[in-house]
Amino acid sequence: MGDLQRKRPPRWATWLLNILIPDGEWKTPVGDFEEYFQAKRESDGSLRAFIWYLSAVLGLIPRRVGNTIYWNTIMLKNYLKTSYRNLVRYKTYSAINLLGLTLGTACFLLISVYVAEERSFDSFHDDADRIHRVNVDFISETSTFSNALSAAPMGPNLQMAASGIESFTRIRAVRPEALIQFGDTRSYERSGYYADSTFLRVFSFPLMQGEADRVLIVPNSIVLTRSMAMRYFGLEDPVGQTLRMNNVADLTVTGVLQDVPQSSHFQFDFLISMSTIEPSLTSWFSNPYFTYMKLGPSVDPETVNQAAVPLVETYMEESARQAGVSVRLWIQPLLDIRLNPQNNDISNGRGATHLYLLTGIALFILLLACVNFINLATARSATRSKEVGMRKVIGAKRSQLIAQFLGESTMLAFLACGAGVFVAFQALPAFASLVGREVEMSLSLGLVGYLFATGALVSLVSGLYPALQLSRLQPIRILKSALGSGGRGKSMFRSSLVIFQFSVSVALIIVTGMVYRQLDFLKTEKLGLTTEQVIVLPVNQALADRAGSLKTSIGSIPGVESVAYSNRAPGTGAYGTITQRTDLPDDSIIETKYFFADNDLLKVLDIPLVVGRFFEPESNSEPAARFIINEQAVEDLGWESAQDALGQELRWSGDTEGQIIGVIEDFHFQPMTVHMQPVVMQYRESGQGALLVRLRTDDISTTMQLVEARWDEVASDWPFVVSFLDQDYDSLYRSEEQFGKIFSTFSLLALMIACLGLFGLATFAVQQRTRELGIRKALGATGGGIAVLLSKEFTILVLVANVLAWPAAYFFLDNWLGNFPFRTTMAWWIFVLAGGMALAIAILAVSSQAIRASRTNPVEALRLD
Amino acid sequence: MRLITRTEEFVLLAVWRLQDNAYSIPLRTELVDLTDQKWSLGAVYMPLERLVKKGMVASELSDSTPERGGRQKRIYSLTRSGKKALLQIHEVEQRMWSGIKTLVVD
Repeated sequence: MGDLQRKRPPRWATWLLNILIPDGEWKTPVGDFEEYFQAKRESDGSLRAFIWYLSAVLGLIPRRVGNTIYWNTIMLKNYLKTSYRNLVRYKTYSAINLLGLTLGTACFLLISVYVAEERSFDSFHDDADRIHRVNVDFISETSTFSNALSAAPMGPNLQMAASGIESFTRIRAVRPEALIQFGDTRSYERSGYYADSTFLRVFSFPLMQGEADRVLIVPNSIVLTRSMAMRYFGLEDPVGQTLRMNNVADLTVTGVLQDVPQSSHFQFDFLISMSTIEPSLTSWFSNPYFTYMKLGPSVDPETVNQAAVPLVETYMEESARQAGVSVRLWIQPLLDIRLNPQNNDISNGRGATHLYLLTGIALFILLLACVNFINLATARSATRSKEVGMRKVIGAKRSQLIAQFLGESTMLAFLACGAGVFVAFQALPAFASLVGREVEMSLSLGLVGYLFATGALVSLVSGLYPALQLSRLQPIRILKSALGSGGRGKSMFRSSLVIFQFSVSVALIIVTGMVYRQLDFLKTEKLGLTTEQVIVLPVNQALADRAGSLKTSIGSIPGVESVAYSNRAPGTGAYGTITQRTDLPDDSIIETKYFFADNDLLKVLDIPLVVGRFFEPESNSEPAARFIINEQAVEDLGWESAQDALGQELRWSGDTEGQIIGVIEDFHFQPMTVHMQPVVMQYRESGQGALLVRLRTDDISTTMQLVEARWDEVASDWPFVVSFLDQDYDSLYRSEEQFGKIFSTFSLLALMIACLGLFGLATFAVQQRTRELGIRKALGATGGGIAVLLSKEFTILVLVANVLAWPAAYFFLDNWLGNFPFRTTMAWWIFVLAGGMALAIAILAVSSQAIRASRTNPVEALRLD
Repeated sequence: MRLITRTEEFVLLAVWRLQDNAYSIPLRTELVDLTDQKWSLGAVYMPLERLVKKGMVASELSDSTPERGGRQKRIYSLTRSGKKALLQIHEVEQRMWSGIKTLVVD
C-alpha cells in the first residue's frame, strides 16, 4: 500500500487540480491526469512524471486567477457605472445621504480624536505606568470621600514603609496667587507649585536649562517654563536672575522647562523649591499636597497600599476615630487620573462618564445618518428592482448582487469619510472651544486607518440591509408587474427607523433643554447673598497689614456703599477645620468651614440674620472668641433651632473656645453643585484675603476709577486686580455650561440629519404617488387636502417617536439631576416643546414636498404613462 | 451540412476508431500516433467540449481503474449527428479528390 502511495501524484496537487478544473458533466480531468501520470511514470520514470504533474497543475493557476480578475473587473466597471449613474440621476437622495454621512463621520472623527487624547493623558512621561499618586479616603458610615490631596508626612513615611518606591515628590499650589516681579514687569501668576527636589526624577518634563537633580534643592529656587521666562526676561538668559515674589521674597531662577504639554493632567508656569516653605512632617491631617511616587519596575501597587495600613494606624487612627471617620491611603495610577479625578483634584478632567456620553452621542449621530441611507435605499428599491431583475435573468448570483449593492454603499461611505475629514479639519477650532481645550488632529497613518475602519463600518451598517432586501427580489415578479415596490412589511421597517431617528433627536433636545434649565437654576437660584454690584479686591498676605487702611480709604468714596473684609471671597470655597460643642462629649465633632470676617460682611453681601446679632466693631476688644454660625451648622451640631444654639459654647479647631452670638441663613459660598456645608465665622478686622466692596448703582465706572486711585495710594506696589462677584459666581458653572453647549450642538446636528432623511422619504413618497395625486386633483382635491394627506403619515411617526423619547429622556435626566444637591424640577413643557419642535420641522420638511405636489397640474402627472 | 474544424474532425474520427475505449487518454495517444503531432490533454478537451455542445458526441461514465486513482472513465461515443457529419465530410473529401490529375510534390 505504501508502495502504491509513492507511485501516485502528491495529494495536495490532486486536491488543487480538483479545485481548478473539477470533473464536470462531460469531462474527467482529475482521473485523466492521474492516468496520464501513471503512463508517464512507466515510460519516463517517476521523477519526470512528478515534474509533469506538478507543472501541469501549477501552470493552471495564473490562467485561472487571470480569468477571475478579468471577469470581475468587467463587472466592476459595470457596477461603478451603474452606481455613478444612480448617484447622478437621483441627486436629492445622493445629496441627503452624502451630507448626512459626512456630518456623521465628521462628528464621529472629532469626538474619537478627543476621546483618544483624553485617554492618553500623561503618557508622555517616561515609565508613566509606574507613576502613582497618593489619595486619602475618609470613610464614614454613610459615604466615602476620596481626596486627591494628601499630607506632607505621607510621602516620606510611605517610602520608608514600603519597599519598591523609587522616589516620591510632593507639590503644593502657591496660594493665593503670587505677585511676581522683575524690573517693570509684574503680574499675578495663577499656576505655580512648590515642588520637592525629586520632582523631575518622578516626572519627565524636559528641562531646557539647568540640571534636573539640582534645580529645586536650594530654598528660594524657582524653575520657569519657557513661555513664562519669555514674559519676564524676553531674550535674556533667565538662569541666575532674581524674581521678587509678593514684594517680600527673592527667588533665584535655576532652570527653564519646556512648556507643559497640554496632555498633562496638571498645568503650571513655575515651580518653587519645597525647601522654601519647609513642610511640617508631623501634621497628618493638613492636606495641601499632591504626592506622586514612582514605583520600581514590576512592583505591585497593592504592596504600597498594604504598607500604608500600619502608618494610618500609628499616626491617624486616633484622631480619625474622634471625628467619626476611618482613613485609608491608596495610590492611583497616573494614567488613570485624567479619567477618574478625585475630590479636590488637580486635574480638571471631567472623567470617563463624560467620554462615554460623548462617544454615545457620536455613535448615535453616525447611526442616524446610516438610517437615512437604509431608508432611502429600501424606499427606492422599486426603481432599482428592474435592474435587479435584469441582472438575475442574465445570470447574476445573489451573492454578486449583494456585493454590488454593498460596494455602492461602500463607495458612498468612503466618499463621505473623505468629505468628513475635510469638514472635521474645518470644524476643529469650533470643536475645541466646545470641549474647552485644544484638540490636535493630523493626517497620520493611525487616523487614516481609523477612517478606513469607520468607512467600512458605516458602509456595512447602512448597506447590508438594503443589499439583502434588493438582492432578494424575484425576477419574475419584478418583470411581470412593472412595479415591484415593497408591501406593507417593508414600509413598517422604514417607519420604525424613522421613529428611531426622531426618538433620538427629541430625546437629545429634551436633555439639552433640561441641561440649560438646570444651568439657569444654578445661576439664578437664590444664593442666600446678593452678588450684584459687589467687587472683589484680593489682598495678599504681604499686604495684610495695610488692608485696614485700604478698607477705610475705599469706604470713604461716595460711590461706595460699604466695604467688608473676609479671608475668602464667597464663591471661591472655604477652608475647613473641626468644631465641637463644649457641652457634649467628643463624638459631636463635625467638619466645618470657617470664615474670618469683619462686622460689615452681612451688609455688603446682604445675608439675612436669623437670630442674635452679627459682629460689632467693639467685638475686637472682646477677649474671648465670638462665633457666628449658619443654619446648617445649627442642624449638624445637633440643636433643634437657631434659638437653642444662641449663647452656646463651641470649641473650634480643637483649641479656641467661645460663644455663639448669632445665626445667619445659609448662603452659597461654594458652587451650587456641592451640598450646603456648616460654617463657623469669627471676627477679624482685616488681613489677608479679600475686600468686598458694594457699589452704589449710579456711575459705576467713575467709582471704579476712584477705587483704583485709592488702591494705588495705599498699595502702589501691588497691581490693582478686581473682579465682579456675580461674574465670579457665573464662572463657577463653566463645566455645566460646556456640557450644555456640547449637547445643544450635537442634538441640533442629530435633528438636522433626521429631518434630511424625512425630507428624502417625503420626496420619494410624492414621486411614487404622482399619478394618485394627479387623479385626486383631477377629481377635485384641494392643495391643502393633499398636503394633509401626505403629512399625516409622517406626523404619526414623529408623534410615536415622542412617546418613546420622553421616558428615555426622563430616565436619563432623573439620573443626571440626581448628581446635583440643588436641582431644578423636571419641566413638562420642555418635553412638549421638544416634541413640538421636532414635529414642526418634520411637517415643514414633508409639506414642502406636499405643496409642490399639490401645485403641479394633474395633466403633468397623468401624462407620464 | 454543419461544418466542423479539422481538429474536431480528427477527434470525431478518433472516437469512432476507439469505439468502446474512447476516453481522454487513449484518444490523445491515438491522435498523437495518427497525426504525428503533439497533443496535450487540454487540446483534446477543447474540441471535445465543442462537439458535446454541438450534440455530435455523447458521453457516459464507465468503470474505474487503479491507475486513475480509483476514478471513473468517461467514454465518448458518436451521436447520430456526429456520424452524419463525419460521413458528409468524408463524402465531400472524396468528391474533392476524385477525377483530378495525380498530385505530386516537385
